[in-house]
Amino acid sequence: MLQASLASEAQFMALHDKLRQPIILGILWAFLSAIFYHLVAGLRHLLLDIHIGESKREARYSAFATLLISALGSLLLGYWLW
Amino acid sequence: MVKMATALGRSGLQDWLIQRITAVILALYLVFVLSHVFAMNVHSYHSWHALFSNSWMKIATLLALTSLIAHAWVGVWTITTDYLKPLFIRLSVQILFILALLGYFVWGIQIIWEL
Repeated sequence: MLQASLASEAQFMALHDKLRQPIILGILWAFLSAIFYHLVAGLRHLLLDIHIGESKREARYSAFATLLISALGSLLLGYWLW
Repeated sequence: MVKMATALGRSGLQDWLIQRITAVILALYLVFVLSHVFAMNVHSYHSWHALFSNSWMKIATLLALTSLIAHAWVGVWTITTDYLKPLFIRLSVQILFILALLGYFVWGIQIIWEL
């Protein structure tokens, strides 16, 4: 996708049109949602590495927050894509 | 200490550190690129091309790509070592992933180089 998007304007527009197809758009949304969830969960782990939020109560809270933020992010990504 | 031939670093601690450092690089790059995509007109080929024509953007992209390869290598190694017990299957899957990742690395350099 990076190659096509940078090769020429014609290929950029062709890729753009291809990504507008409903099934491709759905796959793109799923991928972006997965990456966003990975990002949020990864940030939580990095915070735990530097000893932030290590108590059981805080860890439970941040686990729930990770799922909530990821779900909201997925919805926003979907809104942005469609 | 058991030496694993398909691990990326010399030790588990080195793998751990590589995974964290590359994670931070990838997070920063992802947020930067996504904020650009959100901010600009995504129908515009020229602004997209101009962004990737900058030397600093090429360096940042190659740094992120290198980080992605290392991050994925450590992650795939960890998962396959945990879940794939038969040596032949585990080694085959690990080698396939490593070859694919190195292939993406060369391909990515080629894309950036041609700009």
